[in-house]
Amino acid sequence: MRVDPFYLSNLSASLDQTQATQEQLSQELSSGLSFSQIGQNPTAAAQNVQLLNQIGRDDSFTQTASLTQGMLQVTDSALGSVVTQLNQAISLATEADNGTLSASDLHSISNQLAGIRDEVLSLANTNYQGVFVFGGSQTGNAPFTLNSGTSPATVTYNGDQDVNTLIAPTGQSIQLNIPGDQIFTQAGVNVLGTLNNLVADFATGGSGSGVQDTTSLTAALNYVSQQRVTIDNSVTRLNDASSAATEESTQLTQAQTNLMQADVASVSTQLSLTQSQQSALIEIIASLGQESLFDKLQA
Amino acid sequence: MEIGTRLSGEIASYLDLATREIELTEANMASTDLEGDNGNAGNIFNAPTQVAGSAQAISVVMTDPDKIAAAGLGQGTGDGSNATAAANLATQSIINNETPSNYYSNMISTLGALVSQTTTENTALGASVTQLQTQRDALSSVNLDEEASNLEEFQRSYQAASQVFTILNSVMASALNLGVETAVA
Repeated sequence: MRVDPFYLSNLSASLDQTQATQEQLSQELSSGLSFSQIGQNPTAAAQNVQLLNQIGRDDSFTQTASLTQGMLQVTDSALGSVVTQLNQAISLATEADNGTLSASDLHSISNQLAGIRDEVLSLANTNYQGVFVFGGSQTGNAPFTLNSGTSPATVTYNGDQDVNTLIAPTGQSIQLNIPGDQIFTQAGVNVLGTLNNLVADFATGGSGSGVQDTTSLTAALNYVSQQRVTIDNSVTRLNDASSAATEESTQLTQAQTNLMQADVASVSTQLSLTQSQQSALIEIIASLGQESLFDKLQA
Repeated sequence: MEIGTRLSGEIASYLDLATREIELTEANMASTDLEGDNGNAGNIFNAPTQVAGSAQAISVVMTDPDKIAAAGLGQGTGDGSNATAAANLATQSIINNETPSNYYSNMISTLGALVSQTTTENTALGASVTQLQTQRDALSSVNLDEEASNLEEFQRSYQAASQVFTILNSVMASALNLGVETAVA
């Protein structure tokens, strides 16, 4: 038998190795992760990248949806108020059209209709956190301006026809706005134009073309209600998409946990074995140190 | 090729290509920022002219978030078409015919495999060193059996030599004392 000249260094190397193994196993137990470096499991690390990316997209969409819901709700609320105002205007116009009112009463109704028009105009210029919601992409300035210098008065649209959409993680496209001219000044169902006509009809104490304009206003009211459905649908779809994204994020997080979590029972057993090996190695090294050639010299 | 060189070379190539594609994509998205700067909105990143070294050279040059060009060319500041187009890049094959996510995932996989390979080779080389040391020791290190055998042999030789001296001493004493055997001090 030949003597191993590296006996001690091999023992030391073995001790280093068990120490490193013990540290790794302890880290797995404390972190709950089966690996901490990509080299330990490249495939799982790559899958984790994909999962993190998808989770990030879901979370990002959920945050965006939360911010956007506020704007859609303000838009819906504004359109709801417009519907209320238009119903009131139709009642007044119908009353004026029945031919029993005096010139003074008709003039008064004209003033009330002008008030309603101003209120609808104000709703058409609704602003949410600095953004005019009915301006298309021209959100920095009020989209509608009233010119009262003519009879009937006229309304100018300063926005554009741009429609913004939000893409859900599922690829679904959700409409976020309706250009104001599509709602308030659309040819044939011109809300503000018809209101201006009605104001002018009754302003002089007569009825003018009040009956015809009242019919037009009823058509405009129905049209606004239809447009409101688009926003309502967007709110519903946004809520559904947000819930789906949250649910998917939860599932992906669970998949990530399953992919990376450490098997505590197995790691504990390995740790116990490693500790036993380490103790044995330390004992051997300690026993070697108990007797040396110097002890012989002293004797 | 050394593992370290491969590691830095391959990963640098991955990052350079990805960086360059990001810069080119950004440069191609002429658009409008929140301040209404139509078509002249500044870049978010600087734009090195070649792929090699792009990842190292890239830096954020934009200092005002209002200058992020979220709106499309010719649109108002409330438009989000450019931002939507940028978000859609996440699912498009814009880097080496792969989506950014797949590209990055593949890079991680490649990097992990290289690290794993390096670790395995290190372990194998360590085992090889140990094996070679064992083989060398089998030939050249101290053999306890040989040493014991030699020790026994030398001890016997020493004893034999000692015996010779004892006999010679006895002979010499007899000669000096003319045949009378006496103890020699």
